[in-house]
Amino acid sequence: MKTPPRYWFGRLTLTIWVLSVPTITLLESDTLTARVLTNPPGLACLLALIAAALVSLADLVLNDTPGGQWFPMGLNLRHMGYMGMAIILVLLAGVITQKIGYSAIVLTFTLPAMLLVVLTFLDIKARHRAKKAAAS
Amino acid sequence: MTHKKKAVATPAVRYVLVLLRAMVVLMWAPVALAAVTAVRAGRTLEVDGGLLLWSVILSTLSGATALAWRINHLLMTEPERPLVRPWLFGTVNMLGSWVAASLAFIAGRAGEFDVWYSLAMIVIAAWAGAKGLDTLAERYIATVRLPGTGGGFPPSPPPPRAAFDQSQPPAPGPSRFGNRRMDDDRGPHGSDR
Repeated sequence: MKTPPRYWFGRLTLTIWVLSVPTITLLESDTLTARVLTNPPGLACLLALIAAALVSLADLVLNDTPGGQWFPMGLNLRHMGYMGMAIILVLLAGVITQKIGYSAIVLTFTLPAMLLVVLTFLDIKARHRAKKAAAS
Repeated sequence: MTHKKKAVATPAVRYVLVLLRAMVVLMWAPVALAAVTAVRAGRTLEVDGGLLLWSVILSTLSGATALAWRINHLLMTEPERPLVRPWLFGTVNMLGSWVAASLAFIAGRAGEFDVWYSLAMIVIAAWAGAKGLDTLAERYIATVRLPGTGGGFPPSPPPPRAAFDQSQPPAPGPSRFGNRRMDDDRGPHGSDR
């Protein structure tokens, strides 16, 4: 049985967590994110976050299956998706602190963002190492 | 360019690609202009410490994104080539993003933009700055002989493409970075950690 690639579960966990942010924001109007996402850039950020998370989810499901790589664009742009999610999460944290005030709750955005950055570079390294090993 | 280019179908497509590349380089010109105008007009900038902190974090993330894009592209196109002088490679990217983000921050404060627009502008400017400086470095610095690479002044015969040249392996001899690729994390004696 083929085992999932390195960092697969980490990527899945973070992607699902990121998807939960816009979901909670849209369903609960009293959350911090819902209170700051009231203007066009905020909504654009929310949509971008949903798009990046969905592309990452599709990449996780379609490219890491035993049948082959069904979504090569997602594979090539994987690092952009993760870094994009990290940037939007930090942007949200920044806007929340500036508009509402400082709160330790921003750690819920900044810590996953930091993990996403680390995961991006680890994934690039692991992916190219695996490619090199397969070629030799 | 140091990496292999894919064949482009028509001159029109090539023209559009050149235009897009020029746009990336020129994207931060309006920001620079706005910053210079604000400074020359003698306007005082109210720098909010919190906003400055978030700007630094966001510009660093944006620069790191450009760096990840570049590293991935190099490893995809030429997986066997060593990445020469990774410190210079990373410094150019991050310096470009920080400079452009600083200009965007000054312009945002001078224009008294909303937090959303100010931070979003910093992210875009940092990305464009990293890409722009990277393009310029590859075009001009790659042709300059760096100190310590041999030769006197003026450098005799035509200088090698030292800084970002992926076509030649690094010169032999003791080096802080050796002939290792960036993804080679073996220990000092070549063993896996």
